[in-house]
Amino acid sequence: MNDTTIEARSPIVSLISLAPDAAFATMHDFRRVTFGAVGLGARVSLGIAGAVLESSPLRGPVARLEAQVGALSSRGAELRQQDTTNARSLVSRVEPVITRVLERVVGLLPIDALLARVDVNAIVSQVDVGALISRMDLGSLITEVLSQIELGDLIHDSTSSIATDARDAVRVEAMSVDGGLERLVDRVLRRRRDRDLVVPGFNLRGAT
Amino acid sequence: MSAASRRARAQAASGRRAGLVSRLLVAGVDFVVVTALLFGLFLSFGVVKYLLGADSVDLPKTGLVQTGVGWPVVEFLYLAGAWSFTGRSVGKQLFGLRAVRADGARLGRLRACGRAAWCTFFGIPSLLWAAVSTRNAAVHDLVFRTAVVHDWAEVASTPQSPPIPALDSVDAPDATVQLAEA
Repeated sequence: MNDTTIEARSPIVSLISLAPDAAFATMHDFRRVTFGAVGLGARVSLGIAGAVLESSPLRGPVARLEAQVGALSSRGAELRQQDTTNARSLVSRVEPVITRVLERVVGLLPIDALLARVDVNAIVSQVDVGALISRMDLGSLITEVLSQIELGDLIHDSTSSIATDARDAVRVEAMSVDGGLERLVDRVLRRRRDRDLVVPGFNLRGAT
Repeated sequence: MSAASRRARAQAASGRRAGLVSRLLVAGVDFVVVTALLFGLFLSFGVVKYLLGADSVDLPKTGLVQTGVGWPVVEFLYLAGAWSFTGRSVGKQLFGLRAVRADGARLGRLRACGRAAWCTFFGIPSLLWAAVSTRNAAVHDLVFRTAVVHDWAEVASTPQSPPIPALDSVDAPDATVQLAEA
């Protein structure tokens, strides 16, 4: 648009085109003035109120009012604290009663009769066990179980117990043969008394 | 026989003198152990010679003299050491036996060494008397006032209060010796 085009427009059109911006500027200034006036008014009012309340005739009543309100406030806080404590103790006393009642109710319920009416086989038959198993990673599960079982220790313990049993069996057999030989010799020598085989003063630690 | 019944029988036999058969088996095991120790000693000689410059690890050429001297020495040291510390050699450990004094106390070092020396030279013949003795005592048990008892516990036992001497036993002047020792 060149300067000749601007000069050809009518003054009304020019005026209308400028209106929005002018209105915006006007509103902005009005808002600023209004808020400023409100703020000024509030500050002045507060100052005046403070001065009035601090004045001699009103100072005493205001102080008494403040004291009463303060006492009410602290009493209210105490009462609120007591209510909280009472509520907690009530809950802690009621809880075991509720628990016993619930246990009694559960005891009265015919759970066995209810379960007897449930066809577990029908429910289980609806379960696709194959799909369940196929979803499980059996390899890693078995590996984890074996890693926790300590197979090495199991094998060691079982081997140790086998060796211990074998050793004990040999010992007992030797003792049996000892006894047989002793009886044979005593019979050959025609002894009437048993052999004195107990060592006095020999005591096993932990023997029963 | 179950393990529990074996254990029960072991408990019942604990503290009782061992018979000839058990002690002969122990002697057999100890014989094997001493043989292995002697072989190990000879082998270590070979290793030391090799380390000092020999061409290979060879067992030393031994004859009757070396074996005749080496064997008793090794056996004496083995038996004396084992009986001094625990009253048990390897054979006794295997068969659950223990050599103790006649009053049930542990063998002292002196008694263990004396007994080991006797057994080294007169072992088996001395042991055969246990078949006849009323207390299953070998000759070396009578000489050194010792006994070999069944003891399956891993820890050495402790003696009770001083024993009352058995005055009516056939074999023994133990009572007078014990009173003298006390």
